[in-house]
Order: sequence, then structure tokens, then C-alpha cells
Amino acid sequence: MPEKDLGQIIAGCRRADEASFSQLIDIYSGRMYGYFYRLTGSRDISDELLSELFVKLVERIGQYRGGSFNSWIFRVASNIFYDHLRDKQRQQGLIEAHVKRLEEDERLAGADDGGEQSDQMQKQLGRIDEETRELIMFRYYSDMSFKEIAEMRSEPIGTTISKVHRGLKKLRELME
Amino acid sequence: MDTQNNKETREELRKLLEKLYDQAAARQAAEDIEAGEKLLRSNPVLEPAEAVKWRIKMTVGAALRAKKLKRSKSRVYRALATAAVIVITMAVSTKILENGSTTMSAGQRLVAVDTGAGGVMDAKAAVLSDEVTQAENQLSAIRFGQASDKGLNGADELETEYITIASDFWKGE
Repeated sequence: MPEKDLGQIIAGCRRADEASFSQLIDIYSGRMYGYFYRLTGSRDISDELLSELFVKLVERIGQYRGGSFNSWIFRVASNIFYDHLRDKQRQQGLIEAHVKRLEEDERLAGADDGGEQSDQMQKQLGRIDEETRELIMFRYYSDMSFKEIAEMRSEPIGTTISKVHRGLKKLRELME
Repeated sequence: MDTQNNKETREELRKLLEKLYDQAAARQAAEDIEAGEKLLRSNPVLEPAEAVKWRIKMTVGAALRAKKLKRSKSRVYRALATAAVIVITMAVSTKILENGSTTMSAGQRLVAVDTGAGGVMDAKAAVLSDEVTQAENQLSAIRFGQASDKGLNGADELETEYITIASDFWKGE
């Protein structure tokens, strides 16, 4: 999509124009859905988070102050994902959440997920720790540079690159 | 407005890695990262269902309408509040102007003049001032029919009393 067109759509969204929001949803829903699905492994949760993201954009689009829109929208998406994790943990309690995660990892690593998209990639991603998985997906779907991601995470660029490198290398080994 | 993706090119990534690792390790890391991302590209996730996108658009539409309504309400409330402030200010100003021109009686003016001139209230002037004020009040009451039992005679009596007091004042008694 040309930069000018996306700029016009964003301007429309800031004016609370419904048609512009509809276009924004068409442009970003695929990438955002992929990001949420790769992190949660659940279609239902990804649907919910996707909906939450766009509803939140209605309130927050006025806070976008230029710069990379990809970076901005993925930051909002990342916050939504971490809020979801926190809510989940609060609801279930730490021990129960841990047990559930172990079960989920086991399910992602081996068993069929019963109705949800079951692919090898999703199973192997379940074997990578949560933080690295989020970092890899953030980098892959947002198309942000390592420099931007490092700044956003307030960590040295070498640390960000090292984590992504190790995670992707492990994923490749698991997939072979 | 910058809306483009900012991911490094292959060359930029290699240069970046060379700052962190030696040349051989940097080349290896770049290959690992590229291969990993290629792997992700070759395993795409399904798109969200059209029904999901439609439902999200409906939800967003409702949120936008609610936002517009809230904004309109807020504007109306602000306009009403401004109008109320203007009306109250005008009412208070009118009242102040009206009161300022009529409240001081002759007795009070007498005291005010006396205080302003000498700085010390003269005892005689104070007594006279009270009597004048009292007489004025009685006259007002008669004028508005509050002392109807006295009738015209009451008004005549008071007028006579008023003249006597004024005369005493000028005589210095």
C-alpha cells in the first residue's frame, strides 16, 4: 500500500470516519491475527484480541503522533497481548496458570489441537519461551528494525539481536 | 508521515551484526536470522474469517458512533455551562448595579459624610441620623400601605416630625 494512501486512511480514522476504519481493518487484520495466533495458539482468543485491538484504536488513534504507523500499532497490539496474559494469570492464579501453560506446551508440542489450525510451526513455537516467542513474532509481523525494537524494549540492540537470533535458530532446528 | 516498514535490508543487517560479532560469526548469525524468517514466511497463518472481520467492523462502527455521541453531548454541556455562567454573571451584575444606587438612606449618607469629614462620630449627629432613618422607614411604610391604620393623618404627623428634627439639626440642638 502506498504511503500516501495509508496516511489518508489514518487521517480518516482520526476524524472517526467509519469507512477509513473499515479499510484499516482490511489492511492490518491479517498481520495482527497472525501475530496473536502465533502467540496464543488459539483462534478464539486471537479473534477476541483482534477485536479488542481495533476497538482500542478508536480511542487511541488520536494519540498517534506520526512516525512509523506499523511500530505504533504493533506496540498497541503487544500491550493488548501482555494485558491478556496478565488477566489470564490473575484469573487462574499463578500455580494453575503454570500447570495450564505446561499442558498447553505439551499440547502444542505433540497432540492435535482439536479443531484449531494445527501446524508444525505452531507446535514448535510452543517449545520456545514466551518472551522470545513474542519478540520473534513482533519482529516478523511488525517489520520493525532491531534498533526500533531495542529502543521500545529499553534494552541494548545486541541483546535484542541475540534473543531473536537464538530463538530463530532454535525454531529452525526444531522444524528440521 | 512515515508509514513504511523499517526492517533492515540484508546488507544493513550484516553490517549491524559485524559491529557485535567477528566477521564469520556475523555472517552465520545473518544467515540464521534470514533462514528463520524465511521459515516463518513459508508457514503463513490463516487469515481471520470474514465473519470475524465483519463483526469487528460492526463493533468498531458502534464504538465510533458512541464516541461521536459522547463528543456531541460534551459540546452541548460545555455550551450550556457557558450560557449559564453568562446569565448568572448578568443577573448578579444587574442586581449589584440596582442595589448600589438605592440602598443608602439619607441617615446613612449623613453618617457617611460626618465620618468622612471629622473621622469621629458626633453623638448628636448619630441620634439625628437614627431619627431621620426611622422617620424615612415610617414614610416608606405608609407609602406602600403597610401602615394603613394611621392613614393620611399618620403621614402628616410624620412629616411634621421630620421637619422638626431637621430644624433642630440646623439649630445645632
